Amino acid sequence: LRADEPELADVLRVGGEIGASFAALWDEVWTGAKLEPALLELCRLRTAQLLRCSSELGTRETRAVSGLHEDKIAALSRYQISPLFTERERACLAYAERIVADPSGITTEELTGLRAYLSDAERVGLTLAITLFEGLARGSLMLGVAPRAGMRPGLAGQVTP
Amino acid sequence: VTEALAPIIPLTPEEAARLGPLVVLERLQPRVVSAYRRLGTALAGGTIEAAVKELVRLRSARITGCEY
Repeated sequence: LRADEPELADVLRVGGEIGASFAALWDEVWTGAKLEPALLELCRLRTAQLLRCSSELGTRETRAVSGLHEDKIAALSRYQISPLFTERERACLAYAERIVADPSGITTEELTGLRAYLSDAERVGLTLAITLFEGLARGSLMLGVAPRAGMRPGLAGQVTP
Repeated sequence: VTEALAPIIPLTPEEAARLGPLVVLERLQPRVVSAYRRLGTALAGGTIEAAVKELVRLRSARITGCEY
């Protein structure tokens, strides 16, 4: 492992079975959670913004690209007032902010509000996805993962031969 | 499981306590939770002592305010 700014895949490979399992979970969230990849990508990037994780901010998930324009990503920090975002997206992004900043302070009203936009399974899927996004962003910061700009077609294929 | 979580996992606190939250989550998101379980199994292995990992887990839960 390079001491200066290793690539994410390098870090996961060093982690052995843990890294491989994390990579498999990461890929599963994008297909198994039954949420639109573009919505997940917005939540991933908002989480990275809040945590100031440059390696995650520079990356784009390949499977979300077709449903998401860079103009919208550029407006992400203003999602509450930007006309580019739907009310459903705003609710999910506010939920992501709550998970990152103050999860134990979430109110019943906030959770109930999500019901208007997400099914039971979608709410659970979004919660699991955001906590995973947060974990990768925090881990990348602590392990000094190199900032990079580019597409990420998944993680498992980069970690396991 | 606190009452505040009921809107996320659609059960009464009593039902959630009886079934366990992971069972409920797995019903709603089987593929993702299964992958989470595999990661948990991997984390349980490795070279770091189990007691140290448990202390870290509990400290993290306390900081986050997660009573479960």
